[in-house]
Amino acid sequence: MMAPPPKGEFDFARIAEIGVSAQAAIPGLYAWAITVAPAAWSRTSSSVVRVFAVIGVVALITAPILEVARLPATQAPTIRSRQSGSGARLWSIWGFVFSSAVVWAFAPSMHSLAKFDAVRGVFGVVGWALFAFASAGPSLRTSCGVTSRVAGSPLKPRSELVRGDGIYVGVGVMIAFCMQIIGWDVASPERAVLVRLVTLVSGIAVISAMTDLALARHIVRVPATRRLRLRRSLPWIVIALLVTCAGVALSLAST
Amino acid sequence: MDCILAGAMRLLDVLGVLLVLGASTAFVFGALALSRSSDVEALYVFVIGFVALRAGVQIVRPGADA
Repeated sequence: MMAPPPKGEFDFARIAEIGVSAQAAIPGLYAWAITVAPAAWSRTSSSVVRVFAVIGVVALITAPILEVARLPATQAPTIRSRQSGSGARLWSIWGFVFSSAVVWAFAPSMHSLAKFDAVRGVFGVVGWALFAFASAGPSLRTSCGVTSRVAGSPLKPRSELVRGDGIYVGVGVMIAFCMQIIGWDVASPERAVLVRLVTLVSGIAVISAMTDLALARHIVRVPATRRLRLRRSLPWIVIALLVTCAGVALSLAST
Repeated sequence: MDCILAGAMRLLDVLGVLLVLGASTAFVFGALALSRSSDVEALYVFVIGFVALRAGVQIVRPGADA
């Protein structure tokens, strides 16, 4: 079993030991606090909406308790089967999602795009994505004192990876998230959807490009021949020239 | 010779990163222009962003055709 944490420190690994519903409860509560609670406790919301909002929290909190309660007393938590927590997982996911959907459907404050806060929207998206990830993935519990799942001595990698890949991908993800802040105050719904779509595609393209740059560092590169360099770069030079000419022409036409 | 080659490759890495960052900036300006309903400006900036992004990825590709 795991060693107890030092006095005064909270051990998050113990939450993961309970099961999937417990590790999903934390991002779920975060998503609830960002996206559901403000809608349910707005001035115009009814008490029925608030009751449904509370049901969401109850689903998140009671699911880990159900998961623990369904365990046979003789079994240690770390060797539980995944199926034993499926009911709790269903209650955690669908109880929370259904109650949130009801709150959003019946809360009058959610029907106005003008009142929507962009930063809160982005944090809400992150919260729901984390909840989905934690709910769909396997439990992060550790096995009882087992450090390796393969018998014998620990395997050695054939080559050491260059450090810094995480920074490349992290910067790409950060840029993609920053793009999601744009365009939440657009009045026209059609244009708002277009801006969302464009920023999403741009974000994915940036993450993909940053990943390519990170991976390119691991390849043994040889200098390209002059012919190959020209063949590769010529289309992009032509496009850049066309764009520059178009920009100059447009600016001259507007003056 | 190896040292020069490694330095050149590192320089290409930096150039690639700068091009991708420039492309990201262009995308941000494009999205802002799109939200202002300036479609021509948005299209222009997006094309610049796309070209810069493509150039940034192509520049770090190895010499042999993969």
